[in-house]
Amino acid sequence: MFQEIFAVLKRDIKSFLRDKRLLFVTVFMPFFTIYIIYSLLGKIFLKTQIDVIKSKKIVAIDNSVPQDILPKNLENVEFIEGIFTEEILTNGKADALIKRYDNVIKVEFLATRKKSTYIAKVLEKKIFDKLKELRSKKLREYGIKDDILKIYVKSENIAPPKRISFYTFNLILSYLVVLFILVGGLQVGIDLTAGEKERKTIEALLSMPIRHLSIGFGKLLVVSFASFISGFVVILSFTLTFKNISVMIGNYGNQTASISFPWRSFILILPILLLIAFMGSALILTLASFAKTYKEAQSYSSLPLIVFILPAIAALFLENYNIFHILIPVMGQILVLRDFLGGKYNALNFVICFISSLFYTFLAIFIFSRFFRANRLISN
Amino acid sequence: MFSLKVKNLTKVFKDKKREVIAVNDVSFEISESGVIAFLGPNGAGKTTLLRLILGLIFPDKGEVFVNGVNPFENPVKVRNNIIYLPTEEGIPPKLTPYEYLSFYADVYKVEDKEKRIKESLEKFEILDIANVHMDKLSTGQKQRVRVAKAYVVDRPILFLDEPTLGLDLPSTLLVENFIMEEKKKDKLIILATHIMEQAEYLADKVMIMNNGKIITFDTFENLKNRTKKQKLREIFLDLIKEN
Repeated sequence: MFQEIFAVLKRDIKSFLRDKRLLFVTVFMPFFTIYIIYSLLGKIFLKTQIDVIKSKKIVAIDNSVPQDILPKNLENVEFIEGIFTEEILTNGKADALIKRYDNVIKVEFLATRKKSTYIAKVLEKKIFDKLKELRSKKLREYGIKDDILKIYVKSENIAPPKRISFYTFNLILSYLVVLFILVGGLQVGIDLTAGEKERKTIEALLSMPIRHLSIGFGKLLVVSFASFISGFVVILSFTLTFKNISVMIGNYGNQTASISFPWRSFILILPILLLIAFMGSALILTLASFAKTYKEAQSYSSLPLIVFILPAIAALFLENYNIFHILIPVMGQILVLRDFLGGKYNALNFVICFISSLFYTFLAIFIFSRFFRANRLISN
Repeated sequence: MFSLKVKNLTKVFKDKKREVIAVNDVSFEISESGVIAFLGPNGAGKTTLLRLILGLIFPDKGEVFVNGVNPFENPVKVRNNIIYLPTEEGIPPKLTPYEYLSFYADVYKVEDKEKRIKESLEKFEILDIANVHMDKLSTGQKQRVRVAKAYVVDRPILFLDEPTLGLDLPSTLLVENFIMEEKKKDKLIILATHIMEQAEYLADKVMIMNNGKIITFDTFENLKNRTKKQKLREIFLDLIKEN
């Protein structure tokens, strides 16, 4: 049987590796999609932030605000004074409005405008610092020690920019890895079933003295290989994209960081990637074998995409997880991948994830061996 | 020695709108070598019958035995004796003729694989294109590659479904000569064709099918005597008209 499987594997892998269209979908598309998304969009995002900081901003100061709490000499900021309403913001004549309401000083801004949001945050901090300074001064004048009053609560991120980026980006990356594993396998799986039917090569193949299940397993190995390559290429592209490109990290102002993955992570995630590839490929081939045309196969095979993507999306929202989450197919793998890519290793999580992946993969292959009937492709 | 026994074979294709009886209660037996021409108009059931014998599709009724083996119970054993060339068969576009023939040689476990492949490439005049991807080949070259595999695997039974379809005269002659040579090796060759002259020239016996049924299965000589016609074309048209 192994000889039969190997013969089919050799035949189909050659066809796959020489097919530019399939190589584009499994290798080039994941590589360049990651590069374009993160490199190009990252640069656009960075440029936008710099433009916001450098652009001229107008701040309207209402007469109700005491002058001594106002910040002076802010770079690229022009202050205008008078009696103002919110209208000055909505009609675009100012980017922020500082106004007093009884004992509250409000910095009003429009969250829909980046410039407005940015300057409001800067003003809020400056006014807060100024008020603190004034209060301390007054207390000292009255001879009151302000040691206690000086104490205030402040939350501060102590994670290095690299760590922040790992958390944010690895979550998306692990999701993209699973997505591309499926997308890559999907095209190859359809090509090796319905594609063979459309090219009229399947009938001669099936009439050979090989068990149809051997044909199925040969094809399964090729589809899994293509899926695995797609997933691996995503990680590779991600590493190369971020190796030399500094990126802006969301709310952490102008901090920048380069991202690179620990090599140990690569070695640890390979078996998990391989198992996901087998799992997805077995489902894709089982469903594609029911199809009579390429289009029909595409429709059927989109089902595993949904089955895979729902837990994958759910994983995106999970900050902390437990063993139960790891046991859920796809979700568990994404969560463990996320940690590994961030250099966070937990042996127990890895073992549970590996064993559960192995179980789901065998289950998918069992379903495949029960339902894959290559001769369905010629029975119409 | 080999035998092919088909008994009350019936295959019905059903869909939501209609039911087509592709093979209708067909029975026959072949126990001698030679070329059997399967003749019949389009949709007569020739291809379905060949697929049933190979166990590629399952019958609604009836039995098939190839050398006493039921292809629906032991398809691999049956197929190991047969090389089948389906009509308008596609070939993997990104493989070369050498790789394609090598794949067949591996699956059929051909001894002296390299020697056999080389001989076939020379015989079918495709040695110069042995390493060219098949999507770059002409229709005639592709068909010669398909037939070459029958030479490489060298099985006792050949199912050839319109092997010269779309070929020019030199390529047709190449294929016909190959059939004649295989016939001399005491093989059973079932040749489904629409070309009456080819059937007349190559076949020892003729099986004519129409609407899923066998109208006649006899030697050309017997058919001539029975119908008082000299040409197979005339015999075929008469019998089709009658049935």
